[in-house]
Amino acid sequence: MSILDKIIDNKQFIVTYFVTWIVIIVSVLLLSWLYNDEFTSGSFKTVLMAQAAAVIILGFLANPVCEYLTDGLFVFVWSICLAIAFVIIILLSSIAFSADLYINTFIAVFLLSFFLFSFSRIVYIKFSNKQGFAWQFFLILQLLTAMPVWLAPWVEELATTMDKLNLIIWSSPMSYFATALDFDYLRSQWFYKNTPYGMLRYDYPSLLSSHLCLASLSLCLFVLGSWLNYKKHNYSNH
Amino acid sequence: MKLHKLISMLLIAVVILPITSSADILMNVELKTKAKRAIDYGLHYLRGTQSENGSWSNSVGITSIAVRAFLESPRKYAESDGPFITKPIQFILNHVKPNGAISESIQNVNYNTAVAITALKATNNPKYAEIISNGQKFIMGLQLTETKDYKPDHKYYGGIGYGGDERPDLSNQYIAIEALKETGLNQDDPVFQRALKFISRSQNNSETNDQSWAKNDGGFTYMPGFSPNGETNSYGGMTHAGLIGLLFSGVEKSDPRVVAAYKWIKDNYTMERNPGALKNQGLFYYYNAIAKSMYAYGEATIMDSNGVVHNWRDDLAKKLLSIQNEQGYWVNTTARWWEGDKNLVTAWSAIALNYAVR
Repeated sequence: MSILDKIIDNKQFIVTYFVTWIVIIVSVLLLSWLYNDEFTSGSFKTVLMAQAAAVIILGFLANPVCEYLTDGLFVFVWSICLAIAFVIIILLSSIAFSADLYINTFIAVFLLSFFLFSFSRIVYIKFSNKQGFAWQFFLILQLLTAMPVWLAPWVEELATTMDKLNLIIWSSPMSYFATALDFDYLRSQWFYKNTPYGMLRYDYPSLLSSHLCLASLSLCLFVLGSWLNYKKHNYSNH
Repeated sequence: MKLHKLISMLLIAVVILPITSSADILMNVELKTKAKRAIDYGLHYLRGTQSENGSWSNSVGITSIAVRAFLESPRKYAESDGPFITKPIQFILNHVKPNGAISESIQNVNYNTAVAITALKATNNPKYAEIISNGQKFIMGLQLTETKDYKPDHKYYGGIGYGGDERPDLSNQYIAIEALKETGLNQDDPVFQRALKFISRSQNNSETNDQSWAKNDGGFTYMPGFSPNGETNSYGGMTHAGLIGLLFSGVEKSDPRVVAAYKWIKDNYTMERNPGALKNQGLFYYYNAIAKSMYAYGEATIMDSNGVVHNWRDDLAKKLLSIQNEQGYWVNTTARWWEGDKNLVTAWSAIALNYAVR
């Protein structure tokens, strides 16, 4: 059965797939509206963050047949491809960056993609043919990414100490990517005007620690996924 | 006998008057003594909260402001006075980046670099000249100009923000301009003229501001078209920051922008709050800025819009003395804008008093 046949056969998957795209399109339109002034004022690092998010999201959605996720090599190579795609996007822009920025953003896009796919892979292996799980996880990751935005109205009440505030900020992949870009996004125009972060003291996570932490977590998920895959195949062979 | 006493008093006056500083005339003598004592208490508090590595609050920005408070205090502390000065200087030097920036984090890079080079300059140590020069270049490189595709008619043209590509604001602009001026950058450098474009576009003065939102009270907002205190409302901290920016960029006192800013200051003169700001926000930033701007403006008194004459030095000293904690620190009960940090607020207050007693 070809990939196309699989897609056509699975109506539930088609619905999920299109709903996902609608959510993405609406989100992008909403963000464009919110960040309109930001874009027109030429904040290229904000644009880079949006481009990185688009690469990872599209990379996830461009893999509609979840069966491929069981292949560990595919997960690894696909993540590398997305990171390369992002670096090409930066190279195509007219702005010159330091070598450090290229390296760090490459690592960041790779690790975020690798983490996302490694987790989705486990979900798929464990709950095979219930592709919705991976999609739900993806939605949770999106919510986590945007946590500094959702919590903004209450952040002063919730984060009474710098440690608590750091916890909120650090838990968002957006902060990790901003650190790779050397960009204090919480003091960028939109955040400054619409959230209280600009008037509070916080720190970003150390980039090296973040790289190592995400790499370790992704690797653990990857190994666990490979083990589950091996176990599943062995079980089905017997 | 009476004549003899009178002659003696006259003689004493003749001897003493020439050796008294001009600030003695500008400020109530008793208050000046108390203010100097308050500075000592504040600096003593800072001695107690200094970290092992010489920093305050583990921040290049706060450490630089605190060490500046020591260096510019009436006691004129210097590196030769010991590790409490040399260690924070070393902490600052440890965070010098290859691109000239001086910062411990990716945040506030402009602010940190600006206050760091100002502090290094205050040491009068020539061995920091290269670091200061590189810091100046880094700050100037942050300015939004044609090289970053900003045309002179753009509302952000000439502005400097926190660092990177972030949006500019008047607070960062004034700190940057102050640093460039204090560290001896040539007044003819085009950075100042470009900065004036941005500063002018942050003022509520339609005569000199080409932005459509500009009102006419003469005060300043945080950035063109935005004030954290609602709409594009002017407020004290930013109006004094704007005035410093204008004066340090070489604008004359007779310039309509300075005249309008000074009118706002007269109309809103108070030491009880940061006028125009929400609640008690940015109060000590205001005290720090008012001391610098009034010192730069060069008038000992201000006549408010009701015709009442105020000695700003006396008023500022009285206010700061009245709210100093018995342990020597100052702190804002409204912690926004980092004013819950006793080290920062104490250093700002000590600097404000340093200007008052000069």
